[in-house]
Amino acid sequence: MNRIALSMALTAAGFGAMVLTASCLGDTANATVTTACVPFDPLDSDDAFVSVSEVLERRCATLDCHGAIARPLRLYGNAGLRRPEPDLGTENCVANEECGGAGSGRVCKQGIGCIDAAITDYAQYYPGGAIGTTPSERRDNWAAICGIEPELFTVVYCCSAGEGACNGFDYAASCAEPEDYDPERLTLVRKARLREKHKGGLIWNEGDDGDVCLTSWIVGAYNQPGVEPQACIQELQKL
Amino acid sequence: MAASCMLLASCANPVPDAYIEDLGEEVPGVPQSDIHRPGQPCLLCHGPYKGVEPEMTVAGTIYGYPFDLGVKGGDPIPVEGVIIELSDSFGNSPPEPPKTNCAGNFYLTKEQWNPAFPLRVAVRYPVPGDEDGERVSMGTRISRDGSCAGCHTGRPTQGSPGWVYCTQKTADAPVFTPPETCTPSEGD
Repeated sequence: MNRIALSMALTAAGFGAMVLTASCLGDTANATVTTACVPFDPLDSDDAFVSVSEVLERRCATLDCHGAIARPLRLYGNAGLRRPEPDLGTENCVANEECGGAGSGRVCKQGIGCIDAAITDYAQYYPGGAIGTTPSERRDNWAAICGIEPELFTVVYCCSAGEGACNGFDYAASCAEPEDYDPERLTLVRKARLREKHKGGLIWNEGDDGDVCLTSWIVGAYNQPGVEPQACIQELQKL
Repeated sequence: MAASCMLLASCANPVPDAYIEDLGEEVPGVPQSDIHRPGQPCLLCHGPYKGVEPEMTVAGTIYGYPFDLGVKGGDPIPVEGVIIELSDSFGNSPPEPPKTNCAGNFYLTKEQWNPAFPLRVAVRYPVPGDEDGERVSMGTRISRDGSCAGCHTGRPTQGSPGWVYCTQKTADAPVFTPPETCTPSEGD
């Protein structure tokens, strides 16, 4: 039997698909598992995850909790920790192509380095500053959320979103039990409901706006045409 | 015996120890009292880890204006008489809201108020001619750190909004001036 994985590299591969590579000790076992997460386009300001992220930024990502640099599930945003900018080693950039090029949402700011194009005033890029949460910060939040339990997230999302949502996913074998559709399988959901030990305590109860916001997104409900993240909007109005 | 030694050794936590060491020595002439170490994270020492008396649950320093890059040292003007309005996750508040002293410091001891985090907080700062003062709410909740300076330190950076201040330094903002003298409160 192989020993536990020593290291895992998680990389976002396109919008919505993630690739998990596990390196194991003992007998050679280099496995590649393709996982899926709710599709998200960081450059689309109308994407439902913008609202989901904002709820989590306000409720979870304060600087003394998931906005702390050392904490697992690190979340960025205007209300808390800012994503480190510029990219390390890019201080001498001269052209946007060096920063990912068109479509990356990142530009070369001469004298500073590669930064998110939304940072129009670098001096205002701090918690509570005039620069709102950037697409790069949302993309990292999305990756952090999907990456907590990527295999479980894949099962809950793909089963709930239905056939066609995840190419190559074995629906017949993976979606046989009711729990395969249950977002409470995810530690992210359980901790917020305090069904699992959580230092931050109870964030919301099952069925509260914040809970509905998060779980609806997880099961792909906000990716249906014409569906607005109403629960997220209601939760944000309370803050 | 060996097990006892290991148990004792495990009581030290190098992370807060390093933070405390970084705070440096006391400022000469300022007694260890309610006016010492303004702008520093009080609960590092006056919290459950070090347990220095009085043990505090919420404590911090309020300044008049945000860090000003154009002024050497950032112009840290402490404001006396700022009322700190707090409520915890059960909706409970301290019996008496704490007020800042001449160093801008305030604190609540564990005996005075032992809240259930997260907390909501607002400050009410004095405005000449307005006995109610001006109320400003914090944009987010305090999740677990009772030290204001655990997050709010010095100038704004990508990891801190900067120190806690009352108002932007606009033309119609109240004029805050540093106190000419500052002595510890009675009993401290």
